[in-house]
Amino acid sequence: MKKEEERFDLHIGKSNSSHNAAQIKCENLMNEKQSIMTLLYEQTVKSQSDYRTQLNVSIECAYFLLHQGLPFRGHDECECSSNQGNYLELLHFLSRNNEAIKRVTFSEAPKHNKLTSLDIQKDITQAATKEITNVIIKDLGNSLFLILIDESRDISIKEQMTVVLRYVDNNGHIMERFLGIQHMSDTIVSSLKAAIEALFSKHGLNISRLRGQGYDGASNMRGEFNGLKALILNNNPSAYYVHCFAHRLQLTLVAVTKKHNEVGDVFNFISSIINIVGASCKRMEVIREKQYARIIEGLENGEISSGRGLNQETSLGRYGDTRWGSHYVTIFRLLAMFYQFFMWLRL
Amino acid sequence: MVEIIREDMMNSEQRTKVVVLTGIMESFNFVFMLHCLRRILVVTNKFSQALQRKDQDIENAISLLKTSKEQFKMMRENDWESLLEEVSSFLHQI
Repeated sequence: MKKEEERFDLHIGKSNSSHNAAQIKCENLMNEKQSIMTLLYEQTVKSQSDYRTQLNVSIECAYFLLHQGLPFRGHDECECSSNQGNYLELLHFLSRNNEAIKRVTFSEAPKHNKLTSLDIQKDITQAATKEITNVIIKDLGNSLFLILIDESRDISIKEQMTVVLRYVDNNGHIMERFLGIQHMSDTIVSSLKAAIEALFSKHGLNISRLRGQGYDGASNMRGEFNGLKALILNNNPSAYYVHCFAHRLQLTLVAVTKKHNEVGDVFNFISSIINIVGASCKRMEVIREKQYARIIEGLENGEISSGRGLNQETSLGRYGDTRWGSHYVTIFRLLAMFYQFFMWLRL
Repeated sequence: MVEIIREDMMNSEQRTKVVVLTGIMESFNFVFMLHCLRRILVVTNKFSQALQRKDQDIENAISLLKTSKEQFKMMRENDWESLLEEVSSFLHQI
């Protein structure tokens, strides 16, 4: 027995014996809190929650800018720039004012994952587009609808097809929802048709539920035999075409102002007057002072009533052929300031 | 001050234009046309505003069109005197 104990003590040995070393290693291994797996796991949980905060902030910034229709990018986005553009500046603002955000953005963020690059911004924006169109399509549901289409060109001179859906929602309200724009390389009927079909299939809309079409009066759109209208009518005879009434009214007005000699003269004179008087800021200043003096005088005499939105400073209001109601605004303002104009010209 | 601006800012072409335009603005014809057009455009503008409402339907639009046309007819038949009065009182104000 004694011999065995001795043997055992000998086996344990001194503090740095191989038995003790093995025992410490074993204890370390058994300690769950220190195990590699746990550490890794904890690290992942932390980085996941950090990533989530970071992503949320990026989405919030994009949401704000999209909602206000502001541009994302700035002229100079390098870190030394004093104005890095709306998106980055908004992020900076948020991280300055929130400790939790500051902890995970910019210099604190992992270098390969800052979530501020252009691709990320675009991804978030596109996700927002998808979400919005999904809501629209869901709201539309199975009800009948009509489409309004027009071409518009953007600032970089690209032709684009704009599509608006009009339908009655579940509460019985008429909804007009902008579905999207589609870049078009040309505007011949077949490519328009193809683009519309692509759009319909992308959003799961059925052409047989279409009950109306609204375009402007261009021949490729409304042509009786080969216009887009006719092609869609071939597929679905109940998709009636209606030319925008307000547009037709404006076309009539424009035709009258151009073709009727006397009316045309009047409008030409008006535009000359506006050009002469409005050409220089100094001249406008004189007119404005006079108008101001006259309003003050009128208010003191009680001839003009004061109120919200009344007696506002107005500009001259040029008319344009594609601005609905602009002719009226022009004449109305000219008559309101006729006296000042006249006195100014006669001096 | 006005004279200074006039002298400084205008070349001969603009001066000629100003002379012509002053004459035109003085003429009864121009003022009359302005008032006449304003009366017409008030109607068309209201019509246009109504057409642009989102909840407008085609039947309503056609009845609006009829109303506007009737308004024009009324103006053509009855409103000349009040228009003349309006123009002359406007001219008296100036």
